[in-house]
Amino acid sequence: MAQFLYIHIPFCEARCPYCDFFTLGKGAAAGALADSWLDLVARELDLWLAVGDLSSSESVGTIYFGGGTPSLVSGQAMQRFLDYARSRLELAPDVEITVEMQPGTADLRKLDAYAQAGVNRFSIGAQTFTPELLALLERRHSVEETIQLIRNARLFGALSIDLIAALPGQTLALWQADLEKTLEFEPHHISVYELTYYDQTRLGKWLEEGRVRQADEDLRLIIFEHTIERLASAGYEHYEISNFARPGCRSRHNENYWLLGNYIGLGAGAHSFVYPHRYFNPTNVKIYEEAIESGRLPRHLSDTLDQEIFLLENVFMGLRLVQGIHLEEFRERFGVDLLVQYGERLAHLIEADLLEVKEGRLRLTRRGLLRADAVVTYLV
Amino acid sequence: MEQKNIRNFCIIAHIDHGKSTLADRLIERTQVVTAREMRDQLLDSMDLERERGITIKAQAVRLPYRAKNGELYELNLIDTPGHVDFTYEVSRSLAACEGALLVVDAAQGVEAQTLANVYLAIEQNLEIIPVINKIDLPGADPEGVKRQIEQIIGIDASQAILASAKLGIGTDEILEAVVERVPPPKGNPNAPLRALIFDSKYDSFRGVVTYVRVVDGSLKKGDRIRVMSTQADYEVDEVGYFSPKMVETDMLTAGEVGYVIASIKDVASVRVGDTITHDKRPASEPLPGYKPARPVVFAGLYPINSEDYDDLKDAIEKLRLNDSSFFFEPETSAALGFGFRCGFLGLLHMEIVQERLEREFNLNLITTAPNVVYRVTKRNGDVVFVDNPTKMPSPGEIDLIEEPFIIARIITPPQYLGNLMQLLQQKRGVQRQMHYITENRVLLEYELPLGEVILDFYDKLKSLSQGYASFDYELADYRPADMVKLDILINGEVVDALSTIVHRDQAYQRGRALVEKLKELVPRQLFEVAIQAAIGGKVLARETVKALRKNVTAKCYGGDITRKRKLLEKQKEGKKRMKQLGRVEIPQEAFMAVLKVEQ
Repeated sequence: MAQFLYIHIPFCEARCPYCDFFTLGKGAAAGALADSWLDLVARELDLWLAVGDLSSSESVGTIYFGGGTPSLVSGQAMQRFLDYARSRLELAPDVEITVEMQPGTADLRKLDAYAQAGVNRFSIGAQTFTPELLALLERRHSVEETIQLIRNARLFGALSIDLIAALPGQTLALWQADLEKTLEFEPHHISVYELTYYDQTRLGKWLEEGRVRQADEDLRLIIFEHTIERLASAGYEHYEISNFARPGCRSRHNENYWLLGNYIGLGAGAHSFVYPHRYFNPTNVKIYEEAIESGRLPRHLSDTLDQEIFLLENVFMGLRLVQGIHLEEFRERFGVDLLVQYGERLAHLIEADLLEVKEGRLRLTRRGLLRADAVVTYLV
Repeated sequence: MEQKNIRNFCIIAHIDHGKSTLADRLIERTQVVTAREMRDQLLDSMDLERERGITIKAQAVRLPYRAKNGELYELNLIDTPGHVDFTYEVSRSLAACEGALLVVDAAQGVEAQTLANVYLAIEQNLEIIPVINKIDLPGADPEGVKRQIEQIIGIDASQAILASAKLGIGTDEILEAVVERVPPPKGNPNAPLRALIFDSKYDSFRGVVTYVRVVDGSLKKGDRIRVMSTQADYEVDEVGYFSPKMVETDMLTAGEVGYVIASIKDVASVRVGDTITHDKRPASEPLPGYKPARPVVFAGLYPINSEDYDDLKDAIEKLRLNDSSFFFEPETSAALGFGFRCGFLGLLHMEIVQERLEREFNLNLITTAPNVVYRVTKRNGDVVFVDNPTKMPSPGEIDLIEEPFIIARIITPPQYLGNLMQLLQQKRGVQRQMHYITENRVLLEYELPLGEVILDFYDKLKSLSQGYASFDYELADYRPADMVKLDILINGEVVDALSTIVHRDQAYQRGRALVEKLKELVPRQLFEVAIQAAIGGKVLARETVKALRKNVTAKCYGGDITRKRKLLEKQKEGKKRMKQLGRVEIPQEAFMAVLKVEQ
């Protein structure tokens, strides 16, 4: 079985107001921090090998650098890390190596160095092509820099573009413009995330204070519907709630999460799943460093004691894929036949055209995709 | 102790006039507890009582007291509840006494509950010692309060003791007055045993502990006793008194107050108000009985999770050991499954029982809207008492519906009269009298349907009078009323647990208000929820809780699952307080919506 590696680079020049991931705003120092960070991560990799949860003989299918702002990492540091990874692990011939890229942090030279190091997929955080909305998100780059990065990156690998939809003040027309602009670049992959107002973020506070207003439910629905239709007509398959891909261009790394596969996350704040155990690394750089320095894996168990919650977490993940959950595979992995376990409740949901069972898979209908969280919590 | 040196007394007061603080001072002064054990409001032992600052169950404590005349006395202080719901408990406690301290707040004066309790005490021929408390307050007017006691209650207040329980002023005078003015008990220690049961509690280690006042004869360990109403015999394992902890003693004799532990398993056999005698030498006549505690407010209690039915049954049975005024019988609801129809003395009593079940027994419950008992005469001449709206016969079968009425007494400063009279009229009240007690206190006496009082009357009264009006009531009689059953339908199905009986003139307004309230209480969910109010088949009002249309996490990758776990856990926790009706979920509070409706 292939192995999947995630590497978390928890540094940014500044935190974005909507972000609730584990990142640290470090200003100009962020780049240097990111470089030396990868050296620590390399040592964590060895610790996972030592406990046997990573194997040096099984092939690695994907490596994904997320953050934070992983594109702050210099070309040399990237080369050094991936060389090391190759020396310790067996990378598959078709290994997918993705880096999340922030416009304004990588020029042609860096992209070239990344590609030389083995990176073959660039996931670009464009967010929006409307300058006013970009300003609202307090992104540290211009629309022009975004476009520049997209044009450069596609010379070196597969291209994925991230957009945020339903921004405050964004009309359907503005959204359509963002989507059309995105299509002009003919990316391999597009992710569309509806803006989420997390409580602990500045954006969440703005909402509470009335400084921004959330797009109303009707508009959010229309945006979602329009996106699916438009991208389908442009040849993109809607394969996950927020993800669209040209044939053969799905993010294999992310798809593995929804297929409920194992993965190892390296770096502070990263999560891992080694069935049946879930782990997380502390969201504290100092504690993380201390663990690595003293030769201990920084991971902590985050297993739930509640078997039903464990099951539903996986249902929650699995149903994100439009193709749904393969019932027989699920039964083999988790020992539970979902149709039996949730019989009556599933019947309600199926009757209400929210779920369907087709070709041995349990999947959300179009209506269900819009309400996926409520559908899964209904099963509790 | 010789009878002539025993004094049995209680304290009666309006809520917050300082009864518990005074009891603490008396206990402290007679040093039955060490300073370390002394806690404020010592007699209020249930957590709930402490939190709410009210007394729910009667308590009894023996105070050894050396009077100024040099003799040692045994004073038995029986604490009484102070809330309108617990009048019956008061009357039981009073029957075990020869005297009562009537505590009146020096600043607030006589209140409705003062009146109600003092009338009960007068009925029992108790010696009443007025105590004017809180004389340290800036607004204290002891002379004015004395006049109120004389004018309103009609007892001599010239000997009233001025006290501040908070500061310990007047404590000695009160103890001396108890010795001098309360008559010693009169019973005959050589006559056949007659002991009055005035309370009982269930102790998980000791079993049933019965509180008794020995009237005639004596009672000791090893005696074979008989409960007169049931003729059941038991052997006494222990007798003792409260200090305030249980202290074993050799014997309880005529005039004394204490407890009996006998191998009584079946608590239903020690009814409060019953008489205990000896099996060998039984008394010929029991002591005068009490009015049996008559529940006037009924509601259904159901476990949210139907698997908890047996636990609820156990809990209710245990609670009943401590609370004989609470009635229950099994019932079934189409919406809620198996549960119990329970009868309470009033709304506070109901809340307390529900809270105790949830807290002490860790149960999640649904309480249905409370109702009174209707007397229904059917066309065929049968008369039935209906304590559950779903049991109301169909309109075609009914000749006459009668509802219980009360006499309500309200004492208020005159500036709130207008508001209060409007409220009373809204509640279908009929004025009997209005009377200025003093220039700034008015007594209102109204006839009111009890059904109107059990909803939000008391809260309304308090808020309209900024807390100044006090209220008490007694049950009067049944009167014909044009009542109808108001049903609530969820997605087209009648939810029996939400049915209420209302006056026809108010049906539309109630129905409207109820569906609006339910709309607020029912969260948006995957499925649309249609809420309708109807009489018979006729829909009076409708509201819809729209289905969720977009409810999905935007980003969900590896690390996000632990965050989602919280959502699932919260949902699972929340579900414990939701009832599934078909495919929609109705929160527990919705079943009490009728209480929260603004009328």
